[in-house]
Amino acid sequence: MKCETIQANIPEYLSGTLDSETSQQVKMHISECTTCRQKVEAMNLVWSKLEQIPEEEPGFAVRSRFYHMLEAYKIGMNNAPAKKAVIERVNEWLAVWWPRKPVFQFGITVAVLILGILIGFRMNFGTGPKNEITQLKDEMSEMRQLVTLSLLTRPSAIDRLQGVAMSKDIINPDEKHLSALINTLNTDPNVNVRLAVVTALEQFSDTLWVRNELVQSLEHQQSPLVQIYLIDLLAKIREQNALETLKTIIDNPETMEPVKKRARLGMEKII
Amino acid sequence: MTDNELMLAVRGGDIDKLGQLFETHHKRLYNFFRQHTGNRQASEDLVQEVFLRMLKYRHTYKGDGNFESWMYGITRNARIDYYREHSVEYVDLEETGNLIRDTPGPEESFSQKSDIAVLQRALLKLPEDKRELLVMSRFNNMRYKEIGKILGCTVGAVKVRMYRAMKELTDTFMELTGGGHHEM
Ligand SMILES: [Zn+2]
Repeated sequence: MKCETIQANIPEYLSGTLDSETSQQVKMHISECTTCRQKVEAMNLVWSKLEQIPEEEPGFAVRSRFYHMLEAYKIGMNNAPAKKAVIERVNEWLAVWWPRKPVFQFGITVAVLILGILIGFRMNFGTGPKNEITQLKDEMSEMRQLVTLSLLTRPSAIDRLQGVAMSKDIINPDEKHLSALINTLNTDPNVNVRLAVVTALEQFSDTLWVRNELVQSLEHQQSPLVQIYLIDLLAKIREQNALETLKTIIDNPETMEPVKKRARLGMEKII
Repeated sequence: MTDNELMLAVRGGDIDKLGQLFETHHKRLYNFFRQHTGNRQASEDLVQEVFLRMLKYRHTYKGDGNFESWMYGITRNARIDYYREHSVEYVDLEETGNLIRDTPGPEESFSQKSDIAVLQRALLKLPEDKRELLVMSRFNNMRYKEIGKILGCTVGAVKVRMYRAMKELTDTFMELTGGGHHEM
């Protein structure tokens, strides 16, 4: 067998899944060929170490989250056609998930998922008049805002990212909601979350005060990545009020070079 | 009851039976996701997501006896969707520095432990598809035939890809350990 053919068989040779004849051939070959033998040795080292990667117990919350989910699902199945207002039921479930004690800090995201399923349920089974469904949709959107706002305040960055992502689907966010996003942009310790907010705010940038907030935020951001994202957005919406801030950034000797470059490009675009 | 029977019961509406499937599989799923994402919180969320999808899509369970393949299909989609929503850089490498938590066992030397941490880093550096292949083959003990079915390719193609994945992992591992003493 050629070296190439031998080498292609190494993974199966190591895992012992090769048929005995081929396995013998590989063994013979590597006793004579140094190149292939070295490959087998190196891969064998990695292959055996892969098995040593220890399994880990997941956090205890995984189990309780699962059983809560199961319960909620059952309630949903049984109550699907009932008349009880969805919002009321939702509140009951959220009460279960909402972290009244710090110990119960599991993701609210699950609650939102279930919410989606249940709404789906009602939609499928609901034979009632159309306006009932419209009302449901309104309730859903209201709940969505509520949950999103709550997510933005969660300790886990992943939850906050989820909150930002959900914000994009809110069609007409109120002022409170936009303020929460801007607050996250200005105070969140996690860069990824701040970047996500910049992206999410783009679709609301036709609101004057949001634009002003974006300019102000640029003045205070320390992370070069966030600065670049903000500069790009302000350039894209051609925000005239940003010119002064951009100039300050360019003139500041402490600004990193890539940021300066981006700011110059941004200025050209706006003018 | 076998996994297959349990899942058939779930499909039939006895959804409490999902609890037994959870008890059997959640730890392995969690570790599977952890190899993939390098992030504990994300892995826990994903475990939850998989079981939720099992409920949601229980009617798609055919009951031809292969519960694991079905579960793996769901697992795979959940992971892909998760990456799409959170984009890779949010998840990857966030915690890789301390993937191995806490102290090694008494019999484990420090260098052994750090070797494995390096290997986990190397694994996370691989492209998605290569890592997936290795995780399926090494951690899930899936046969090439099964893998081919999931990826939609022939056994021969799995073989070739598997070799490439192992080669890249080995190279990356050697590079990270700084030795290069097994130049490939
Ligand atoms: Zn050779």
